[in-house]
Amino acid sequence: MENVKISSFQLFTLIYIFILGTTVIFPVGADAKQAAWISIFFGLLSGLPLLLMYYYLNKQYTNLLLTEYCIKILGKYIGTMIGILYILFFLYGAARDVRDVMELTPLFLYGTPSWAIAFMLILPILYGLYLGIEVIGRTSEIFFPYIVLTVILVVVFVIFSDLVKIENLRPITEPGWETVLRTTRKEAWMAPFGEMICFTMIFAYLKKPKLILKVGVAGVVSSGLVLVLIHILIFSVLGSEARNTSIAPLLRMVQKINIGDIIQRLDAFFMIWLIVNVYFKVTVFMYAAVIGGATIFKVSKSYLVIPSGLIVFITSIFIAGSYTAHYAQSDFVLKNVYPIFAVYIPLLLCVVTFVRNKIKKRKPRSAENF
Amino acid sequence: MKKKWKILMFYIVVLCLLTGCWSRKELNEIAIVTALGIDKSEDGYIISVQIINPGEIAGKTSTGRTEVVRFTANAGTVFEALRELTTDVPRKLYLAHLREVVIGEPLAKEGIGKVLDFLSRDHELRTDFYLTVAKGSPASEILNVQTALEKIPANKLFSALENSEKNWARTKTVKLDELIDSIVSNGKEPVITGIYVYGDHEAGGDFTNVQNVSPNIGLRINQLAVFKKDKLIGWLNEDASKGFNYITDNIKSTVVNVPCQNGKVSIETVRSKTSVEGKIENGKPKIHITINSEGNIGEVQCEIDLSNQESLHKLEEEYQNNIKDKVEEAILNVQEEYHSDIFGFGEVFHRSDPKAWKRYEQNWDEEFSNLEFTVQVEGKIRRLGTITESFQNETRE
Repeated sequence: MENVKISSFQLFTLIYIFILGTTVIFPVGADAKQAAWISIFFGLLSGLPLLLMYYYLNKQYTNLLLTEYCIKILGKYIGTMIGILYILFFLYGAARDVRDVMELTPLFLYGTPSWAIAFMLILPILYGLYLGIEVIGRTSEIFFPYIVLTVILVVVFVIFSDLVKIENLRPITEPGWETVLRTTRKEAWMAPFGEMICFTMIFAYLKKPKLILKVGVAGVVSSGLVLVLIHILIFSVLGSEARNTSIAPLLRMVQKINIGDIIQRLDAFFMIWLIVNVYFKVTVFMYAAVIGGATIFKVSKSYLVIPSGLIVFITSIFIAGSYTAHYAQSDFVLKNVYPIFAVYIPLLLCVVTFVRNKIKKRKPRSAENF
Repeated sequence: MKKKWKILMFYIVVLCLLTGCWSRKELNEIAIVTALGIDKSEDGYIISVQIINPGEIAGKTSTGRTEVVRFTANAGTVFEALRELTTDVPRKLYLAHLREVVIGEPLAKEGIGKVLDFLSRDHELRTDFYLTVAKGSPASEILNVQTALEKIPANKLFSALENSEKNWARTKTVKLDELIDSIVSNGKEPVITGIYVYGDHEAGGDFTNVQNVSPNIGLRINQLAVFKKDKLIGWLNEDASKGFNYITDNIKSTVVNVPCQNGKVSIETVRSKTSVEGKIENGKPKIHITINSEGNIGEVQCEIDLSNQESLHKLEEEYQNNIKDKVEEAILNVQEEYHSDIFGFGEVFHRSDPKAWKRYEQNWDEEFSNLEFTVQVEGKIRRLGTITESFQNETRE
């Protein structure tokens, strides 16, 4: 683990940007039709217990990262193995997000091979990783106002272009609560809220460890609500059909912005915004992988930056043959693999620590009785 | 040594920026398409494109060539036909500035769904163009007309559509997303504005056409085409078209003629707001339409004392009746003739009572044809213009 600290605000901005990430672009929860935003909202609600769990673990081992306390809790062999699995998971998550961008940019840069885009995205990320979490935190702090401003602008522009049709949202609960909840579990819960597991590798850097829960909840709730708001906006502008069949509904909505024939065709502008979001998301994922590797193998982080960059780069290209394959894989992974890492293993760690703490507490007492 | 490294790194970084030029298209290498016409052929589609001749539009001196050029190609799919055009057009077609898509009537009758897929799938196309149906002539002929005033015919159509919707209210601008939305929806059917060529059809492509003060040929938009799913099934007449716009709350301004003693009064509607409510009464769906309309006196062609409140009230009553008639006529006309819910009444039920809608959804067309409705119009006349009483009253005496 690096010997640096980040401020609460920096952590907040990282979480905020991380949650918006790629989820804001894609038609998340398309199964729930016009109620997809409710699915996302439930995803936000069910993401909070996860955050609580991660906080609990961190509280027990204030200065340690997930991979480190894994070993402490489960023993050297099992702990190391799980740590390595986590590193692979983080790398995979990073590759998936890079791939998301690769699927998007051809809509604008037609003809540019997507590996070139991935390469251009990963290079500055590697530089950020090389410089460490302190620099990453400061960078996100700098970008944060622009990201918030852009969200405000898109809302204002869409409203002033007279695009919002509230009736597109109705009937709100037509797909039925069951579908909404199923969609939450399948899609909206794990990405992005389950992916918060990455921050178990970052929480330990916070200057004031007491504030982790506060900052975490503030970050998740505020950006989760922004996420819900943007999806509501997309639905009310595009309608359920166009939103759910489009590859990038957000961009489709932005294309429609037209205020007095002056402010229009802003899609390229918003593409930049998306790339900045994704930059931080991939950076957090890769940082978690790199720092995890550094703690497990006891080497300097700098040695791992380029190899992991290569792994992510190559994985992102070969992860799937087409958009359809990528989408199908995401479906499968979000449903079956992500919960293992985001829910089950942390839960196991929590239970083991909890039980152990109980036993520890009981021992002296039983000794007294004896 | 270290400095050399730095310089090398700098060049590598700069080199990376060149990826932005990967698939660049310079302005002089592309042909900007402003209008796209799609017709049916025996085994596929006839595509016609209207391409800007940039030298004529932007150049200071005109060489006497036309401002736009039309090309056509025939192929199995729209996409293929557009590519086939490269055998004819010297540059690569660029579709991002498309303003107008014209669909031939025979094709519209057969179904436009297949064509729309390309329009919404292709990455180059934006969704800010308007769709129209060519009435009585193939779409390729519509694109073959050189228009006066506007150098680019597609622009003429674009602004004519916008202006007539705003001020005349018998047409409607339709964009791609809206169209697809209403094709897909069970409780709403699409309409598209029609467009036709008037005058001497032969003269259309002739450049000398626009050298006349009164051109021999022109393009005119009017009437709404009624669709069922993606198939054209008929045309609304002008009054019904206006009624349609009243029901769908798409009136910005329009002119209403009401009779008065041996003459007419034209009222300019300046504000109109419609709300449609659906209710299930005695197990039957029922629609209630409320229209609030405000107008000013635009023209008086009869003897009427406008300073008298009584006569103004009478005029308001006529005004309300006129609107009500148009609305009722539109609904009855569509119910009897087309059985296609272009007003989106089904959507109204869908939103207000989703459970009941489930029952009606399957045979909504039938339900719609027998749908009961009530229309309530609240019409107000606010201003009289710059004069109060017409001087015609004086001339009569």
